[in-house]
Amino acid sequence: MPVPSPLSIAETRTRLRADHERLLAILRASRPDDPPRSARFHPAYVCVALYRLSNHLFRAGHRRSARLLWHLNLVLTGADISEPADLGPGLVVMHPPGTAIMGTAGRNLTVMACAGIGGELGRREDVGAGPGLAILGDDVVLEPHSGVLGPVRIGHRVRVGAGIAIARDVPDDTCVEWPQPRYLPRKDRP
Amino acid sequence: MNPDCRRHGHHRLRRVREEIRADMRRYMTSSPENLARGDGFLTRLSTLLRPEIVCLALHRTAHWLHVTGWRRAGRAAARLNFLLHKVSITPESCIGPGCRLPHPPGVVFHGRAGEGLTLYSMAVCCAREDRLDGPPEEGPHLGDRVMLGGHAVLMGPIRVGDDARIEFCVGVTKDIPAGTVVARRLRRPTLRPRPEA
Repeated sequence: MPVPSPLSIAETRTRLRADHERLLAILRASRPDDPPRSARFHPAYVCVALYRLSNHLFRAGHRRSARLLWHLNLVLTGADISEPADLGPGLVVMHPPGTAIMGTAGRNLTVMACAGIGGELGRREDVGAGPGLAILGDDVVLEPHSGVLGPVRIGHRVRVGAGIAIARDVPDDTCVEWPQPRYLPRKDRP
Repeated sequence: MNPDCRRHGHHRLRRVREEIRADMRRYMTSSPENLARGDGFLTRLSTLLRPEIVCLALHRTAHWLHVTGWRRAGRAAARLNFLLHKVSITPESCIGPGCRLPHPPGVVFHGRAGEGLTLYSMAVCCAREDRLDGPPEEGPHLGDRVMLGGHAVLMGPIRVGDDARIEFCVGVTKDIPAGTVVARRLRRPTLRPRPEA
């Protein structure tokens, strides 16, 4: 993956602030009777903050320090967000363990449990995010266990349903879903 | 305190111990190999130190602290559980006795469940994407003896009846009646020779 241009400290702080504000808004909406004052120690924010720092160091050319922070993130939160990944402000990783991200995304990406963005074996085309990697638009939601694989373009405001792996382009304002599962009577019911 | 917590008596420390014992009993009787080891002191000790039981014990302690008003301490216990086992079970979640959690890392649970719940690896049971760590009513409400297969997803305030079984890698966002098996609508995978072989 080509090294993107360095991010200034001010830009990294702006992105971190946007991440924190978005997560805090979600937490406050969920707990109106006991609204949290800060989300700085929430695993969802710790994971994003460590990624932002590693991304900042990587873009500034400090690759070893960036990798060290990536390792720390993996050990502490269980999230594998590669340091070259370029993710816009407002990133929320709801349940970090099992999340794997490598690619490019716009603003307000929501990544739910065990979802991921990454390369696919055998496809090395470059659509703008690096060889074999995906590029996502703004306000994309990845539901649990969903994945965006390979060099594909995902439009703005796309919602990828639970358990779906996408390996082709998706236009703007789209919901990608499985057909309804089968409901069968349980024969071994006690 | 929600009615499920009251029903299970989650505000009593004695009840927490009983539920951990029920979890251990379920593990010890879950297979012929485990049954063959007997019920001696060493077997119980080794069962108690299994990640599955430690993880459930930490959650039950976190939930007890939450229900008795020690919310920050409950959240701290849940974070410790997250750090040790990489499992996201919110302290608000109410889980009945006799739970099985064979592979804790990656499991997410936010909601309510009856007794005999089974969560296989990376099973996810959570609220919608615009809710996080809210009241358990925003997550699924599971009946007794529900089984959630590996990588299965239950999302939002849905009801799952008793003895329901959600198979591997199924995503469900609507109610499931009691005694139902939910399976993915899939074609059979095709087998073809590998081109580069």
